[in-house]
Amino acid sequence: MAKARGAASPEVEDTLEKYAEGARLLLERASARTGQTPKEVVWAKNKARLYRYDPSAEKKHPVPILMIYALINKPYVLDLMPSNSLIEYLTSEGFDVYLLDWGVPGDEDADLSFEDYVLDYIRPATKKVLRKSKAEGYTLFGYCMGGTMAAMYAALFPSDLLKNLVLLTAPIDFAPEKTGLLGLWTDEKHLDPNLLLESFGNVPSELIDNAMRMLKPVSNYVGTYAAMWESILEEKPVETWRAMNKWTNDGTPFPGAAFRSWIGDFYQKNKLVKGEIELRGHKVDLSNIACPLLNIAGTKDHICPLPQTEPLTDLVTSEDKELFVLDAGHVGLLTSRGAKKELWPKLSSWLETRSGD
Amino acid sequence: MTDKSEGRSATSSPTGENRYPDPSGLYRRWFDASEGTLNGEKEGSISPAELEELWKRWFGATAPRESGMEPLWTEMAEDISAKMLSGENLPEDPLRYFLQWYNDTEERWSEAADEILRKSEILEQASYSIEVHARTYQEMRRASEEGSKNLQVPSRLDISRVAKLVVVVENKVDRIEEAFEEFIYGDSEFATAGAVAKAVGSLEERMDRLESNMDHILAALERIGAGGKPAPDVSPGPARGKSHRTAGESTAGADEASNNRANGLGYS
Repeated sequence: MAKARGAASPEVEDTLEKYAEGARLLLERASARTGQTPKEVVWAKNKARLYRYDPSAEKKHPVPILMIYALINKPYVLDLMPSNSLIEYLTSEGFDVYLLDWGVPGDEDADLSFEDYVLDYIRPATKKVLRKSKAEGYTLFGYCMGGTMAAMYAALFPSDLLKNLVLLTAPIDFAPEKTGLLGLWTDEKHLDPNLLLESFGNVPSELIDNAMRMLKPVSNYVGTYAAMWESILEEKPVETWRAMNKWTNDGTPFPGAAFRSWIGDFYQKNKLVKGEIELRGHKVDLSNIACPLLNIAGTKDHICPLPQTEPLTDLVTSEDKELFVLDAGHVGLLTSRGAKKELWPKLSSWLETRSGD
Repeated sequence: MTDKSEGRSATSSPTGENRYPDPSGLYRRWFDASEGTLNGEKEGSISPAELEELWKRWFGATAPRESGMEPLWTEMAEDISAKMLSGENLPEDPLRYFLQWYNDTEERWSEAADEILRKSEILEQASYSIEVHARTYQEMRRASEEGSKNLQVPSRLDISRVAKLVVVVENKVDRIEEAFEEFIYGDSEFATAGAVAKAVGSLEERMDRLESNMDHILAALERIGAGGKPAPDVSPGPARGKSHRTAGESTAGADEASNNRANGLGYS
């Protein structure tokens, strides 16, 4: 481009081109193609969709996997982009993968609580998965808040059908000394969840996003762009950065009633480990979980620190249980180069031995 | 590089070629000056000590006040100054220089930011800001609702009420669909051939035990009819034990199912 224009030195031309590429990336923002693994909708309820991935692919393992994601952000981080997708990897390994996508809640969903999500969404979704796959059991996989929901579900329905429970950075113990900065911010003295519910209905995604970014402001506000420029200057591919940037800026509102409970019951009162969480009058007792458990955590996770996750391993009564700790952060654990080398193969091998007839 | 390198538009060179601004022009001048100072090459250059002092003064003037960042800011200034004066090869591109600096200092900045974000005055300030934001939004929403009402146009609240009704209807349709599915497939636990065979096998076993018990009862009745006293039960211990245990399990299962149905969990 610059050659035709004039006599600038090749060095300057190169720099200019790279600057232009960076500027273009920043202006284009969310333009990456994400969630490319073929899928079909097998069930829908309100905004939620239950997807089955690559239905035509050969299924080597008879136990399907049902993935549950958090109520904030979108679940396509599990299927970020071709060759950087946990879902794509698992389907290629012969697993029958399903994902319950909560969708984007509208104002009319502000009353939806964890009771509704666990009992009226996850419960029927498990039935649909079993019927669709003609299976006699399933693996429940929960990520982040989805992990907490999956654990609650497993505690309420510890039937023989639940073959395995896999939790990825699932917040379980919300004791103030374990929750890091987020615990401090959500303390009763500083945050009234009722006020936010009354004011906004659903808590806006911008508010949630900013709070999450402020947990690590230097990395999130500067480091993200430093990483982008570094890739450009070193002429490395920027597709993953693009996809991640799209995902981090693509939040969903937090349904009001669920937010109130998440802050009030979980963060402020730490009811889950105390056995005081009740869903439609039924106490969630984590010791009811007796199926094989793989509990995964990251040492650099600032959203769900390791001390918040690891207590589950002691709270369940499963004989077959494992705490798998990676030297990674909350999302890096799932999508980084390290994830492909460590987490994905670990998941596959762990599930393979527990997904037989 | 020309003196016009920081200009905003392209200029023509004596040979008629277009010339474009060097985006790093200012940085280059600063870079060249520092290098020149170090090498003592250029006339009028200042001494390294003067440069260091100048650098410190500039950093001092730009330090963020009352944020708790001043010590770190000063530390960074000293680091950069030392790096420049050490004769180490610095990147000629300012962006590369910034990235190198960021990578070297990110951890320290993060620690400082984390420390600041934990301070009670910052937490109180953030809490107050959120409260003000929420209350302002609440008031605006209320005013907007009132406005829509006065204009006799549907408000956002009205639309969400209608949407909620749609969701309720959808849920009812779902329940009907679910009931049909239950009817067609039975419960998912029995949806597969293996599970059905298991259930039928268990039923057959129970029928066998029932028949065996009936035989015992008939035998006892026959003995009574023949004028004799009912003989004590002499059936094999294990069979009786098994029967009791199974009955217990069965009852427990029924109780569980009944409880679950009653408790609204839909766990059938």
